[in-house]
Amino acid sequence: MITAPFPSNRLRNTIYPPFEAYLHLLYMENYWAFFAPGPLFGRMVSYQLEMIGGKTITVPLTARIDKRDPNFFRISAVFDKTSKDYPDYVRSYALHICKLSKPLAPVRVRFIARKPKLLTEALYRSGRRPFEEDFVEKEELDWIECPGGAS
Amino acid sequence: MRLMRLLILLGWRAWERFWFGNQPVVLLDVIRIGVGGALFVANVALSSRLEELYSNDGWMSLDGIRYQKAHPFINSLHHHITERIDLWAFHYLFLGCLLLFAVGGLTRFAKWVVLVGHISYSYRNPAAAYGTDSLSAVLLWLLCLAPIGQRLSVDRWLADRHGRALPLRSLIPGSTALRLIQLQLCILYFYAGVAKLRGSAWWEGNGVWGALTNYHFNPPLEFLAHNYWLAILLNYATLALEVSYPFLIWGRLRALLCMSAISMHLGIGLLMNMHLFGFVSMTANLAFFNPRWVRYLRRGGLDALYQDLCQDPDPASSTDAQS
Repeated sequence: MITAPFPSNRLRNTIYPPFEAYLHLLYMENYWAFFAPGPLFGRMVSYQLEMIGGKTITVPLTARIDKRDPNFFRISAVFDKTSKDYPDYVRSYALHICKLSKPLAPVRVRFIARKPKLLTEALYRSGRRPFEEDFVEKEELDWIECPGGAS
Repeated sequence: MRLMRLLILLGWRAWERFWFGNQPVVLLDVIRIGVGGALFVANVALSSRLEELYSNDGWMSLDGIRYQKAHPFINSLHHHITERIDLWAFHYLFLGCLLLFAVGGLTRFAKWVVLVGHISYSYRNPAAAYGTDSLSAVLLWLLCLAPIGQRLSVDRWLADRHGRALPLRSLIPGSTALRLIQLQLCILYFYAGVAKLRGSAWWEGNGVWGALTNYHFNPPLEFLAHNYWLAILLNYATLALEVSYPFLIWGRLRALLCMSAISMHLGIGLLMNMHLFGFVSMTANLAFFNPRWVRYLRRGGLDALYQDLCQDPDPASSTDAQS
């Protein structure tokens, strides 16, 4: 009755199938170490809109959420999934942005995620801060066409 | 042969005592109030972003979760909701049932609606779900199986007022449900500790610092950066707590571990702004609460509350009355 997902191995894979339905039905099919995993540094996500004529604008997503918003973690969790690992989600987000930006008549949209590297305490003391340009890896996702955007 | 029989008998008795022995099952209702109250507040707050997060016109269209939708065992009532008005009707019903669940009114009915609603929201937008939702789902399921609403509830108050008995129907005895919650916590903490040990960040003492530099949390780091020994100490204290929790919580160190776990979640709640996660985790830890810790309540004249904490309303699990 309790959820005790085990790391994937042959024994686990043998005894798992009978429990699969149970775990899925009750939303208990979690990654085995879902609870307080290693430190995750968060992602700063923004998107670029390309309009007819090739003009682009960049709009921040994560940075726009108010940290006092009681739904902050839900919204930022949504934006954190803006990665190549979740192509369906990314497409859905892109179409949502196309819809929201309809007055600008966007042609296509793409996401840019900035992932910070660990900033040591010594660097922090010297005045460096997370998300400064040389402490991030940039991930640019593919452009996604807005429906009816090219017309 | 005789020794073998004796060992089996002792083992069987220990098994029965563990699962069905007398337990302060009123704690199930304390956990119900905590989890129900937290989810109610969280879902009231969610109303401001309901359509953005859960409607087909929001961030996650139904097409975005087509693989989950096609899975035979992943079900959400929201998969069938396409109209805005239906989404709001469902949300208000869910909020109403959450409130009933928290205050213990029509508990036997409300708890199932809350469970189904919670799962439905979690599956409708899996990207918006996080650790708190998983923990709440497990707790809600175990509470649904248990005889909750027997104490500290509107149901009990009404039954007492009209002088009628409150029907005791549940799928498992309260003491068993409490044990399951306890075991679940042990598994969660142990896995959390082991998962941390697999990476170099926690092993080398930089885990707490790394977690706090996350943009999502981003507390004032000045103090910690100038007193880094504290970050290292907290790092290893967290590891020690999580790895030892399932082994030491059953013995004499229970109070210390409970206090440490609650302090850790309080710290997470305050420093990382993860109030909901911190609160639900602290509430879950109450499953290990020992009524003897509040004996002073009796001396302070709060006899009724003390009795509530000590007495088991579930006859199936009241094998030996606890004074």
